[in-house]
Amino acid sequence: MKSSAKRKKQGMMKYYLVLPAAILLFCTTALPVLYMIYTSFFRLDPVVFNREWPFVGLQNYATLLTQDPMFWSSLARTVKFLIYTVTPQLAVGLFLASFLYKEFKGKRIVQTTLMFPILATPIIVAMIWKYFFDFDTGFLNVALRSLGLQAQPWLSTKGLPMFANIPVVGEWLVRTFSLSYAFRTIVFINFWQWTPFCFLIFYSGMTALPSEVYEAARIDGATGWQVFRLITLPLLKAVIFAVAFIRIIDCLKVYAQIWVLFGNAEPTRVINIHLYTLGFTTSDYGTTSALGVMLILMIAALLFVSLKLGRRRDA
Amino acid sequence: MRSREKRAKGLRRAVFYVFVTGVVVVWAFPVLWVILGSFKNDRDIISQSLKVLFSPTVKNYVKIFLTHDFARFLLNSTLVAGGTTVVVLASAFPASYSLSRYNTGGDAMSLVILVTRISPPAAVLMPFFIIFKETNLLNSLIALVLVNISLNLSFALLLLRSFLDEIPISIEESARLEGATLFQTMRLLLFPLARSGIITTSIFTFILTWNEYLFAMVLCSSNRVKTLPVAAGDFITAYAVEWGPIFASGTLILLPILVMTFFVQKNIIKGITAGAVK
Repeated sequence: MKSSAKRKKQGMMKYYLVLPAAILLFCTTALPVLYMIYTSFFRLDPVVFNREWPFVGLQNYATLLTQDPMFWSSLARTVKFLIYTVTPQLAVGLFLASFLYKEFKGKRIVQTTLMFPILATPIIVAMIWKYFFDFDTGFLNVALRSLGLQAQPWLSTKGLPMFANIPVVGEWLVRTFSLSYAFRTIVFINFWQWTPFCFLIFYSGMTALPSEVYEAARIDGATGWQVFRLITLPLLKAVIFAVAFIRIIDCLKVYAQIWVLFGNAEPTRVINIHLYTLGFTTSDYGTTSALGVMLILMIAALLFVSLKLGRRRDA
Repeated sequence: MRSREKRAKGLRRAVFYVFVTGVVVVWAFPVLWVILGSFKNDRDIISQSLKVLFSPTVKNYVKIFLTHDFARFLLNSTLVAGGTTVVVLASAFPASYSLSRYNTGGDAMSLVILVTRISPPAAVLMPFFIIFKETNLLNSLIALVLVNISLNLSFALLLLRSFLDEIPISIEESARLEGATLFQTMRLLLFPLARSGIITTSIFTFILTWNEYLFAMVLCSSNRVKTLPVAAGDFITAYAVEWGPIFASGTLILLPILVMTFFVQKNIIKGITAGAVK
């Protein structure tokens, strides 16, 4: 009798332990999201906050989808940003990991150096590169000038001349593929901050691979490239997928670096910048809520697809 | 013959080290140059000759503390990051223990935590703004702590859980058989064993809150409650660019992160992948 009561108490214990975190998670995450879903059906008045907002049904969503050309263009820009920055990060990260895998003097220095960007404050990283890319006094242009080369307008929102100068299609190319100095700069900054992240995970993934396979390959006289292509790459496939997933998720969070460098200028306006502009420049709270809901739905869909893919891969 | 082979090997090594140096330069030099720049006079910063030698000054630091109130911003940032870390850790530790040992809430719970972890924070910017506006909590540090709890709690749960999963359950079971209560087991056994997990999670939560910009900018724009990244952001976006104070503010913000990076070195990979690599 006594022991069954005790067991019951222990059975409840696991719920008591979760309770504080569950309450916090509910109040600070579920409530705001539910409230956002609610407000997305109303036309909110930014000045008169009396809660007597007119109910508009799905109109905020319709406005976004049909009457806001910036919604689609900023969504497309987000996808371009993803592709331009994640692909080289994965490639260079993988290259660095296989190149720096062997033992050498100063390895720890290299690793520690590559850890710092991951934790560095995003807007300070943007600040560092704003200085390096500054037209008049920035490090790069000063260096270029002292070598007798032409300074570059790294932070301009103009199209890159090598594409923009192509007759007839130049302007279209620049617009469609976001080939501007500014876009290149935000891609580069993201690349700089997150390639070390890819490197570190690939590196730790490689240390977990069975060393016998490598020894066997070496005895058989495989070249470095063969080892990489036929052994490392297939064995690392799951890790590569995981890193790609994390990077895609994190790129969808990018905001601060673009904001402090280019504000809401159109050539670099990704979806998060558009959301901020819609909310705090246009003050259209209802439509901004609708956009927030749609963002979360998109993320959920992305997670669903990747979990499905992951399951198929495991099977 | 042998000497030629030796030479080829030496050459390969030289090329390798040139490459390694290149990597270090690309990733360390910009940061070091800016930290160095924070001790330069304006004249030296904007000089067109990239001087390596200069007479150092603390003028820029004096300026940000005396004329821009950085002492207050530093205090605000510390309070928000510290407060968030304490609340997040205190609630996440027992919860992640329960999740790790009993899989409380099952797959549904894990899915909720995962979706929260990966959603872009900007998505919930609007509801937080409206809620805090209605409750008169705009421009208060409490609001910022609440938001940062929201942004970090699911991450902390996943990270702590991954550490606790590695501690074999048999140790606890034998302690329980000996008659130790659950809280005794937690305090005397689990706490010391999970120490590195707790430290890593704390440092990550602290740094992520310390770095947070978007919500701090929207919710706490008045000088009284401004945090360091927002203050530095004001500098960066200001019309008249003053590199000296900008560099000083950047250095001030990066310094604690530089120090903490050394502490989490061993566990950094676990920290950055929490919940995503499964």
